[in-house]
Amino acid sequence: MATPPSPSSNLLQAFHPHQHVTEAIPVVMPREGARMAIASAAGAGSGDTHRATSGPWTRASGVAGDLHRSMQEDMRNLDHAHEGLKSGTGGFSSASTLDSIRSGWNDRLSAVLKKCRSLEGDLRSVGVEFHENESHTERSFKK
Amino acid sequence: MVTIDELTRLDTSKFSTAAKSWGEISRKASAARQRVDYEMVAALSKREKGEAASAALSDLRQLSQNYQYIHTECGLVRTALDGLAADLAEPQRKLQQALDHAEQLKFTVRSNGSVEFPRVSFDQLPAPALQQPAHPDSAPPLTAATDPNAAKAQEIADRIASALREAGEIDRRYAEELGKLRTNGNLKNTDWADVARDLKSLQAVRGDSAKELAERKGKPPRENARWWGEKSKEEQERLASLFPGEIGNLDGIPAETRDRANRDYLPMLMDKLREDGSDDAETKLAGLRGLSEKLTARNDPPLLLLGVGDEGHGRAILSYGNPDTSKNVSAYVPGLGTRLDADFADGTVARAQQTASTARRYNASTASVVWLGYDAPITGTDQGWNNLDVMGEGRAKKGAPTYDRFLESIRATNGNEHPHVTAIGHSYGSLTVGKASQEPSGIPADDIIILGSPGVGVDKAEDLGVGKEHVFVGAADNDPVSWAPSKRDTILGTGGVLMGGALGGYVATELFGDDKNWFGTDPASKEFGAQRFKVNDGPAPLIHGDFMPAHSRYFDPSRDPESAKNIGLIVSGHSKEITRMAPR
Amino acid sequence: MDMRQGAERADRILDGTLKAIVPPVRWVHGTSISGLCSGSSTTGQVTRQRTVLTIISPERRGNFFGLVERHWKSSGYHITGNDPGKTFPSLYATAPGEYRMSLQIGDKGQAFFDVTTPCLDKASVPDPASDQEAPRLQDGEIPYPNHTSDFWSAKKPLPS
Repeated sequence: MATPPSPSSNLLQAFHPHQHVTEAIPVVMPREGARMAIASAAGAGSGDTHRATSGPWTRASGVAGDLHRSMQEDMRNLDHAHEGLKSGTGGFSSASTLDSIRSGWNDRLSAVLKKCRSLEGDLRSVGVEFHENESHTERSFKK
Repeated sequence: MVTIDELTRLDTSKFSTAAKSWGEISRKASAARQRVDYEMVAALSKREKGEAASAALSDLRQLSQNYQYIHTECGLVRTALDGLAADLAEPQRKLQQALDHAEQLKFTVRSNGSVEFPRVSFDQLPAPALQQPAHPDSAPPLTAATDPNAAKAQEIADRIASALREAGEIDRRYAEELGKLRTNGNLKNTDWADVARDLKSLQAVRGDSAKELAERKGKPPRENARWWGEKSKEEQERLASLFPGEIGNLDGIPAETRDRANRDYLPMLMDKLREDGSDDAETKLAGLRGLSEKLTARNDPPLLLLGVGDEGHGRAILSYGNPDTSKNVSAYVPGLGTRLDADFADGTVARAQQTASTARRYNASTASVVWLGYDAPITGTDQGWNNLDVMGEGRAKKGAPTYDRFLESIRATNGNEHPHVTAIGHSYGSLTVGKASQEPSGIPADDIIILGSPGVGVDKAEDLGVGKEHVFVGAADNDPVSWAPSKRDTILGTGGVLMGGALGGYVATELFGDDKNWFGTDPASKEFGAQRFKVNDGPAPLIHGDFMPAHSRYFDPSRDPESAKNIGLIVSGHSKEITRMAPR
Repeated sequence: MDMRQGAERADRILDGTLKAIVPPVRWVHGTSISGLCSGSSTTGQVTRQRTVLTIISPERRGNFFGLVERHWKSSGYHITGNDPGKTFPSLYATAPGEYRMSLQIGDKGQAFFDVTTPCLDKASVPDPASDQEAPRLQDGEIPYPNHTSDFWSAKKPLPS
């Protein structure tokens, strides 16, 4: 079973034309005859021949995971950059103010991090939920 | 109060290092927001919803807001810290110079800032001399003849005091700014009004930049492009994060930079309008909401926001395709009734997309812009004829130089040496294009397309200044706006014309000019001498409903495929391939 | 019928059209454009696009157009226009229910298909879909025709 390419995180990518593309991914489906092409494009949720499949939700879950890990790294870097700030800035209220706003920012960034982590799970569950209903969606598919 | 010890020991690189990491967070938050918008919200919101899915989407939208908030606010922290480090360097240098000077002279500087000098011997002094050390800010000695060292010591003490004062003021100012950039862990709290205030406050601290930017607005786009190009990447980032609205709307700034800055500015502008609450603000806000939706989707071709604002009836400039990298760029001026509202965001912007989509088939290196950079005449609402916006040519004349500047800016930031630029004027917008061609430097376009025009203000195609072989006219026989007034009166009844739907209100014949006051010769006429391309006649006008369907179809490949194709051919540089119809 | 159903019908029209091309050509989905209908806030239309990646030689172009026109006619569609220009010819038709479609030749002889729905009740529109296999593409712009077909890319005109 072919795996869809992982979502691109290139910032510039967003500014480049992106086309919806159809990939051929052989899928085991209890339908006779027609080969099903599941449309998916790298980095974007594209259409499916089913009303809803696990594809885009699972992919979104992956993005949430990426963002979660990325934020962890960013917070570590931020902490690192403030190490030793106290020495060499003694007597300057800017330095102490900077220090004092850090905890609020840590809270904000942590909250985002936690949200990404929980979304990773939630989105995957939604994906599974839809995929499990595949016989239901199959019935609703009109030719 | 900063002491000598503290200022000499100060390591400004601590602030710069911290600034860099805040900048990283800001940058990555912007990228993260795009991923949430494009790869999650856009991809999932089309799907059928269940409860779990709806909850997830609502979370995702909030996450997107948070990333945008983090991007902007952390950008401001970065800017403040960079500013702090840069500004403190000067007083630190001055202090060091004063200290070095004192050392040279073998004066002793005390920790309280007073400067001791070796006393000249008694007998060399003409009169009782003050024997105390020179204290900062102490009054000069009363005796006429002073110990020369005393004067020097005083000067050094003053310099020291001044440096410390300056450093203290800078520190105080930035501490205040940083204090405003406080936040908390509540994801629901992304207060854009607050962010806008923080922005303004920090802008005031860097007052020099604000003034400089205000001056840039009047300078030629090419000059602005050069000015921008000479700045370091850090400086560009700093300016864009501090002045997103100004940079985003400045002709001569590269398209992608304008787009990023305007996207950063957009939530603050929308919040400002939300707070305003007036009908006018609500209308503009609805327009911005529509634009926002389009901007956060994945677009093909890519959609760039080159201008946005709330002045007048609203400003919005959008491009499908990157106008800096494309060999062909078109810029369409919409006409009668156009203002920043939901209709603009949906229908008017769609025309640029249609133009780009068609043109890119004939040459992929094409971008199409819709330019609402002026106040088009809007018709009265339900107050009847008396509330008509009968400015006549005034609006077009006012918009003309602004449009020319925009076309100049396209050329200034385009990477190709000679991009092919097409000006497209639709309806009243064609008069704006006509007026633009009459400006002292003419219109910097290679081709001009005139659609559904009530006249362009000149009597001959060649008067537009690009050569009559480069003037193309689309006029549907069933488009009342392109009719001569006498014919209009005959078909529609005297004096006026009822309009429903999006245009709302009433239009009087005065707006189009009477028999003798047509806005110049009919551009579709033989006398005018332009290249008339084939369009569909269009459906006949209706008194109710979509009143002038034939007026709005020129760009629509599904309703007038021939017109849309011809426009696409001209824009992509293939005007030789158009199909023609006889001039009237 | 709403926009979603209309878009699905447009997809099927395109499926039928491409299936009628024998030997088959390679193609990809183009941009799907949805928008409100002019003067309305409750109805909108959808345009589906498909781009052909098979090289169609000028010598075989007439045959290609002929196939498409025959299929459209035999499907009960009405040919509304024909621009047989040498460089960028196009063919226009409508299907019952006011679906408008076109075949256009663009830069480097590339073929584009469009189908636009009539104005239908607003609904969220799914991404384009097909019951046929289409090649997987990398992210980025649609390439110019890059697939050579013994039949469609041949330089010799067909014997009449």
